[in-house]
Amino acid sequence: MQKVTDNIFLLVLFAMAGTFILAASFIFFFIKYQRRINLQKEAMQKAELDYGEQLLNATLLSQEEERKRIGRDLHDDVGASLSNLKMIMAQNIEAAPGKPEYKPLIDKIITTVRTISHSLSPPGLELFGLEYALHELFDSFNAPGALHLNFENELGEQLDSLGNQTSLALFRVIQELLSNTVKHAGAKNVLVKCFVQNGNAVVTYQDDGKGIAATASAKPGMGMQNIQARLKMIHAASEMATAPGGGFLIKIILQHKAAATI
Amino acid sequence: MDSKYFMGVIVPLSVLLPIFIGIIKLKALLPTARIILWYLFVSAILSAASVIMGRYFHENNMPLVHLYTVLEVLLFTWYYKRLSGASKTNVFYIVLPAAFIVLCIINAVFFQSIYTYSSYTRSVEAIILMMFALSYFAKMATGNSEKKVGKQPDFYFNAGIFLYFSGAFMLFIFSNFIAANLTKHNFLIIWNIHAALLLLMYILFSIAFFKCKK
Repeated sequence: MQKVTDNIFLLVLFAMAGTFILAASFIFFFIKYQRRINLQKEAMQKAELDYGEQLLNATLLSQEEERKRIGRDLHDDVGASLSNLKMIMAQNIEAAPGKPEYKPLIDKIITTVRTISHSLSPPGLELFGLEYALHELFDSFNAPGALHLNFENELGEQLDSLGNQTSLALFRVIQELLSNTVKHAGAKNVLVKCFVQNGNAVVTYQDDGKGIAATASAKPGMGMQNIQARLKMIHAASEMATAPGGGFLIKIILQHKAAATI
Repeated sequence: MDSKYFMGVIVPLSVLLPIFIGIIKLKALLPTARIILWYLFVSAILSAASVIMGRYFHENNMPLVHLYTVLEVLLFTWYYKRLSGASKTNVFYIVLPAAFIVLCIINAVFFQSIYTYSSYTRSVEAIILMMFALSYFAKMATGNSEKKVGKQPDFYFNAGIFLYFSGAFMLFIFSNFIAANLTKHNFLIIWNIHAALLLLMYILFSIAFFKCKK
């Protein structure tokens, strides 16, 4: 029988090193595998979030398109038809005995249709910019003795070059805030201010109404959800400050992404 | 540096590092980490007893290795039972340690006396613990845990267990054989490598304790 001359010391060393390297490699590849799985999970979550955001954007955009169409139809078709009707009736009934009081009624319908049409789609926004649209909006709320609206624009012409999507979103947010103030706050004064802070365009909305009690469990209502969705759509950050009896303040920060459209 | 110094002083003392971190983070320790801390206490006590017996009383300390093997399997089985979330009455975690104790008794009575190195039971122990660690990795790979691997203390415990027992497995198998056939110098080199593996396990255990958060 051939004599075995292998060095036992080396064989044991190799065996130990071999099993150790196997185990270490296993752990190394396990970590790599887990890291890849985690990256895939993160990518999937991000894709889901992006999809949700895109869906929200699409919903809001189609909602705006639909509002614009209905507003235009109301203004162009119904408004024009009512004006025609007023003219025809003026020609035919003017001579009739008794002269029924139809004019104020038709005028009232025309005004209502125009108001609805304007609230559905602010006509001046695309043509004259956000500042004009906001002034129009404030005029519609500025009934004597009701609410005193102040508007300070330190951004100047920059406010009108925010881009269509950002301008429309800001307009809708301020419209919603005003509506909330009128319906719930019982405020006397509202101040809307636009300015630059740390290189970002900032819009603040402040009223001196009842404010809201901030409770951890309270969920935002439909209006606030709508505001948040629209701000998210234009990548704007917001900070709120409110307390019962202490009024309401929201600060909208059009961060670098949004400010880049300026 | 004398090679005996590394194997006989530095590495046995290094067990104090994970124990120290474990005690500091005691309140934040996971239930599984507490079991590992118990294991380290037992390990430190038996290691100290072994050094005292061998170095100062010049007594054969091999009976302590037999005892240590049994305690190690019992504590690690407890750890894996807790890690798997198995119920108290789970048969596997009762039968396995019981069978191992019986195996150790049979081995000590019929095959390897308590005054010789228990290479058979040490090897079986290494296989059991490697299988336990592999089962943990398999569960992690197929599970849906959102937590990153590097942030999980149990990952470091298992990495330590798996690396130590894989590296030392061949030594356990051939321990009596090399004791009889190798020169003292080479014998010490092999056992120093074992000590380095043990040190690696203690370092990984220390990281695991460090990763425990409330």
